[in-house]
Amino acid sequence: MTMKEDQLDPQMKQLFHEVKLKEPKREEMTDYLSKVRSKIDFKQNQTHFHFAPVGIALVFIAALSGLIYWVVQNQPKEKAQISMVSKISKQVIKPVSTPNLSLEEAMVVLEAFSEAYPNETNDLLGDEGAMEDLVLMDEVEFTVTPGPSPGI
Amino acid sequence: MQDIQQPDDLLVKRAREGSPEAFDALVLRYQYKAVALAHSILRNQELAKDASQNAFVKAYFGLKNFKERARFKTWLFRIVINEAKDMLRKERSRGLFKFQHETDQGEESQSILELIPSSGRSAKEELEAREEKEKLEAAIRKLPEREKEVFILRYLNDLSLAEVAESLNLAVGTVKAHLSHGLEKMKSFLVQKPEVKIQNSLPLVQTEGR
Repeated sequence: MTMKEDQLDPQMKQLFHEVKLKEPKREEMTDYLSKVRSKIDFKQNQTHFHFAPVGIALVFIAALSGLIYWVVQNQPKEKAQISMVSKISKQVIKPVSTPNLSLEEAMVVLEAFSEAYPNETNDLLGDEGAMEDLVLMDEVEFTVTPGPSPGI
Repeated sequence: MQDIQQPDDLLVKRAREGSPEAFDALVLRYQYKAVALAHSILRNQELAKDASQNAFVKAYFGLKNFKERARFKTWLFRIVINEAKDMLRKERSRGLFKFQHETDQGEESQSILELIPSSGRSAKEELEAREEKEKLEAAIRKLPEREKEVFILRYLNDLSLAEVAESLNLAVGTVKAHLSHGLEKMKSFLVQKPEVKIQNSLPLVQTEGR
């Protein structure tokens, strides 16, 4: 007597002995094995076939990352180029320190300036008396510095 | 033909070594039981065939991981149960009402039990046996899922307690507990049935008495 029978009362035992799980009929199972085989083949092929899309995706991802890398790498160069240009332009714009001019050269510049902007000087100074003094001083200076005249 | 007579462990060993004939022999050996087990969960023959075939496919690809200490039969049954449950879940989510309707409509044809043929039964005994079978089937259907699985594997698939435990990945003690609860409920369901019939007929009796 098995354990199975031990646990059952006679009525239940009788009932269970008369029934079993319903199994398919033989004619319903003719293509069963071939379908199992074809499902196995399909899954095997599917595994191989899946390689192609995966490969394509990997290549695409690699290309995309390469492109992103290239953009990132080139961006600082452009920035560097721009900053170089701006440095150069700043250097160009930056006023050159005034060279030491001789007195004659300085005078030429001043004359040219006063000719070009006669009123501005007055406006800037705003004091005509002072201007007259300056002119006078200049005249004195110029009469002295050129050297001895033949009449003296 | 020679393969079909070999024991499971030898066929499994050969199948693992790449012999398709050995695996075919395992399929031929268990195909009926696998379909029947899937059918007990799905209650639909076509789905049961499909689910059990999927289970064989999974078993084929899972042979590498199959532990040789385990029994192929219980391992396969576990895959079949899981596959059938998975299919049931999918079918229900795909068209809950449609699936339910179909299974209810074809209840008679989709019965999970069948009478073991016996030449010694008279026509009357045959009829009584059929009625008993229907009662039992109705009682099984009322059991909670786990108890139903344990009951089916133990009493309708003739597995030992250890094999049931292995198939369902449960401890033997848990299987015993499920079985005990299941049997208690089965008895109460089987006894309840005639009482329900009597209750239903009561109003008719009272009317007649007036």
